[in-house]
Amino acid sequence: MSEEFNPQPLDMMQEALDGQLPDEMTEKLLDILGRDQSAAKEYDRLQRVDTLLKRAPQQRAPARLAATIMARLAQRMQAETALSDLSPETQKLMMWSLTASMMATMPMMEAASWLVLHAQRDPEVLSEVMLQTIGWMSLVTEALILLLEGAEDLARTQPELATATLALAPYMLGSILDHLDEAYQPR
Amino acid sequence: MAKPDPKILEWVEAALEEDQDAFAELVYLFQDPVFNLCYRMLGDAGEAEDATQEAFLRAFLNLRRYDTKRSFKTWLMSIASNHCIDRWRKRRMQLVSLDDEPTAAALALSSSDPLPEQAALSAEQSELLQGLLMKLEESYRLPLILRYWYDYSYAEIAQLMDTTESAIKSRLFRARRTLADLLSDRDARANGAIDDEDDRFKRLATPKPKGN
Repeated sequence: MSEEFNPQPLDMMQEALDGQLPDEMTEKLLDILGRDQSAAKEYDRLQRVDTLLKRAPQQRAPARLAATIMARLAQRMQAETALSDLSPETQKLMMWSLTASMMATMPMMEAASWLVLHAQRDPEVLSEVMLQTIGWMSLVTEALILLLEGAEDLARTQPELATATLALAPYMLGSILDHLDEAYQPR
Repeated sequence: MAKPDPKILEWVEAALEEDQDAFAELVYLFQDPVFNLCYRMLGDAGEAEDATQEAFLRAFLNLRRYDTKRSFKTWLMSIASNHCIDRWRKRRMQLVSLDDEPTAAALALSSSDPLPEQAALSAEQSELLQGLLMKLEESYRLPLILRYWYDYSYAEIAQLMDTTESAIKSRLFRARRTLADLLSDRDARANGAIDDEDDRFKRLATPKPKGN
């Protein structure tokens, strides 16, 4: 760790490292360093850091990065254009339907959290619960994505059908639950 | 303060008209410095890649707010650094433990390495230096990165970080001293663990003051 030394030249040392110390002050600093061993030691420590940092290379961006950024940008702009084509009433209705669809997944999320929390004591049970939970959450997510994509397509031509499609979300989730219920009945 | 390049302004204006090709030119031009900033701030290449993507998307979506009298690069860097600081704060609790610190031996140079002023750090040394940087608070790490990797002046860093020049001077000061302390600690711990030849790194990376 750094020892006690006269703090006065510290500012000068920093400015010297940044190349901001005027010539006459540089001479003064060199004079101090020649006389004050603790100051010289501190300057050595700071110069070592300075050298390391100056030698550190620039990290280059991965080759695919620019293409990925532009693809994300295009996707975003496309989505915004698609939404801005809709009337404000339809946009609002879509948002409400979307929110309702998301809320329909809440009981499943809650059930998943409950299962995981209660399975923590036994690693084997936890592992099984995690696998099952991930499986049916993926199923639900895939189904919701399909529903949303269908609604988005319909929104441009028949907005009322689009919202009706989204209103199917709770029914669809109910069907998935029935399917899971049947699949896990004890044989 | 650097004046905006007319070509860059041309691309910005075209991008404002939703010309994606013009924005792509800006991405190609600045992807390396933005990625490097994100990598140095976050210490992880994958996360730096995500952060770089997000920074460019934010820049595009906020392009109307860009003041064309200022440097586009500085504006872009401020978006990237703010995003990295937010990201870093969110994952601060998951930081690497002290056990992952680089060892002094790993920071040492082999006898065949070129002199410090002639070569950049090796990939391993660079990674280890990054480990030390990650130990600094983000408000100290950022000015250090902007100073050393981008050669920004105190005034430019102050503008980018929305603070005063004296605050930046003080942060640079503390950042260097903290790194110096970390290196000294490492040396103290490694005493006896590294041989004389490896110790050559210490000599090479520690130029003697001219007054001595």
